[in-house]
Amino acid sequence: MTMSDIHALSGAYALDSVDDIERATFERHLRECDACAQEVRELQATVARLADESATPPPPALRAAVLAQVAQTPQLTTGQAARVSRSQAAQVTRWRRYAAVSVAAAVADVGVGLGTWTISENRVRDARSQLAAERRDAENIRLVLASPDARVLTGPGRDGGTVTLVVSRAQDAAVAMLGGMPDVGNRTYQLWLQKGNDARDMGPLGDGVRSGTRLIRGLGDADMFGVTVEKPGGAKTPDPQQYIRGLSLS
Amino acid sequence: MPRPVTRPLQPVPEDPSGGPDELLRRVARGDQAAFTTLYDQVAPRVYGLALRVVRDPAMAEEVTQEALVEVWRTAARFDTAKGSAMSWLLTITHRRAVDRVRSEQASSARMRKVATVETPYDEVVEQATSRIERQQVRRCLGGLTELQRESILLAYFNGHTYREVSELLDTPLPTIKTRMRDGLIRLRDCLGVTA
Repeated sequence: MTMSDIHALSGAYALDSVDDIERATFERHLRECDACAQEVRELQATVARLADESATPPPPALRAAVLAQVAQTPQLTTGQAARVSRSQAAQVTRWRRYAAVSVAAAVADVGVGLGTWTISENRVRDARSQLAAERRDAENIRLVLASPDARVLTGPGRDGGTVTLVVSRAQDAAVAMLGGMPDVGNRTYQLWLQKGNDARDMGPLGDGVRSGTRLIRGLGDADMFGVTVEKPGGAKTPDPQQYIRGLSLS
Repeated sequence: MPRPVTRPLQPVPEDPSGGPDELLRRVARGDQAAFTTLYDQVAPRVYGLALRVVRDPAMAEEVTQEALVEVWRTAARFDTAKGSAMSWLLTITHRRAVDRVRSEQASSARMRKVATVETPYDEVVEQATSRIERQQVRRCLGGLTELQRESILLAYFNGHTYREVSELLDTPLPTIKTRMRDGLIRLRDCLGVTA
């Protein structure tokens, strides 16, 4: 492809009308041609105006679903943002369509250096089995998130992090998400449903695990969702001193 | 060529929390409340664009969710010096919608045939033109040649590559490429878009 050919591609590029190879070639060119980059930005802003009149209110349940996924999706730092190219990021995002946060982190680490390769490989493998496990629940999670009666309850953990619960009484289920929780060594975060003084065990998150998504089936008449920190492997009843977040379901 | 003076690109929002640019800067610092406000401001345009391109409400929801989560994740990459937040996130949305259309098409050649039969290109162009009601955009589109307008609308709203557009319009490849570019440049100047 000659230089003049490549300049002429700016319109097709702004319209996303190029194939993947042309896109990669053109983006390489853009990094070396400030004038072209400026033209592309202007043409992208121009095509965005074509979307002006397409505005359509999305289904209300989508809001809860997006906010819930955002609540447990780590962000790139400015440094990472500069390093990771857009196409890599797109691949990463495509790969973890279903809320497998750790997968993205693992993939982002691959290729940082030979020294980290083995560790990253293991993390990818772990992340994959986690992804497989999460996929089994993915459909149910989707049902909860898409349910018209879905409500989002959220609050900070006692010592940091965020606990989010999307509740659907219609589905008699909820999706619990813990994000950015503080390190508790080899102890585990554990989830509970409560009615008065009765607590039902909804399972430990896993020893040392600091973020994750859990489908909770069978809300029954529970009026409270709680998260505690418990001994490795989890406990049969919640430690009242170790509540880090409760969310009222009523 | 001097650009005509027109009104600003985006209407100034009444919301005291600021417009998409300010909100996106806060989102980049991990502000979930700002993201929620941003969602409420931009979701109809993001979803509307996704729906126009993928033409399936369930798929449009998925594209919207993917695009907005990517906006959250990569907000630190947004640079106001390089354009508006709205343009940035519609670019992300459009890319994802087009990816989806192409992977659906690639998954079945038969489906592509059906899709082509069901949506002849002139109908697409007509729909696109008739739905674009904002006077300024419509007026400016009217100022393009037919080939410029058709090339741009087929690519943008149908997710066609310029090769496919070339076949659909039975016009040589280099011509289509050039018409897309000079058409967009004319549209940019007419709309007074700066970036």
